[in-house]
Amino acid sequence: MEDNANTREMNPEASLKVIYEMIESARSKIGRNYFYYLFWGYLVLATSLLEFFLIRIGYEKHYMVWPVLMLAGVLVTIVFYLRSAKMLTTKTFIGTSMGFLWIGWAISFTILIVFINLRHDFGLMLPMIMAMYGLAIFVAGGMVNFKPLIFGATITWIASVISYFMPYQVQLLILAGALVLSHIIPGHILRNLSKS
Amino acid sequence: MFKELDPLLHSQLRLSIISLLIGVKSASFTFLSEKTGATRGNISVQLRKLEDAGYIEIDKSFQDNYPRTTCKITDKGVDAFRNYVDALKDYFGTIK
Repeated sequence: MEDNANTREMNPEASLKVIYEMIESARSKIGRNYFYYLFWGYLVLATSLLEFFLIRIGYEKHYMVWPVLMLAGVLVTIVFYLRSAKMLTTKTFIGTSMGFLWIGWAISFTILIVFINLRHDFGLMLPMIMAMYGLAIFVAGGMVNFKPLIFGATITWIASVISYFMPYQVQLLILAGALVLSHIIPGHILRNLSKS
Repeated sequence: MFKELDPLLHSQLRLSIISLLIGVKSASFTFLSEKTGATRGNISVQLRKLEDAGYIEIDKSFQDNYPRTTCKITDKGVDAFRNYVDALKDYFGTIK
């Protein structure tokens, strides 16, 4: 746009064109956050399969993979967020809402995990985790009208209900499958969208 | 006879800036400059005019020792933009 653009005569058609072009260029790019879906999808997938493997070989403290890898995941997420936030030139309403959603989700998730551990009711752990994942993904997908996430949320809720009736080892495999459909596949689709 | 267009918004660069800000919570000076393609000097002048009219708020801060200017549209700016769009609709004969 030239420097004398502010004084250039505009007719209503030109005004409408300017408004349309600018709003379009400032729109939230849906693919921007694919990192989080891929990172957490693969991390939780690896953790659940690793615990399954440790149980099969008879390792007693198989459950330790969760606190160790999840804590590492939180640290990586914080570092990635802080680094990418510096490069952002806009704050969008959707971006802010997503931030509130996932921070709120993480707090509720932590409270739930603490309660389950206090009651030693570990059979409830993974079905509850999946139910909570379903909620967050459903809202996130709805906010940006991204159907693979909404589909993934539905699958995760179904997986949550089925896993309630299954032994812990099978629950781990169900969680792994649900993550592929709710995080990894939508994450790769988002990644492709962000590059197209 | 259709509604008169707000002269402050009826300029290509100022209308571009307001149209960009209407869709985001806030935007940096760099973002506005990149999207509009206008020079930093020209953007500064137009931002000041929009700020003087109460259409936008400008926040100046520092990030990693570099100055950072962030702009966001005010309620008055949103109303002005809405009125401007209404006037355009009026022109095109769109019935609300």
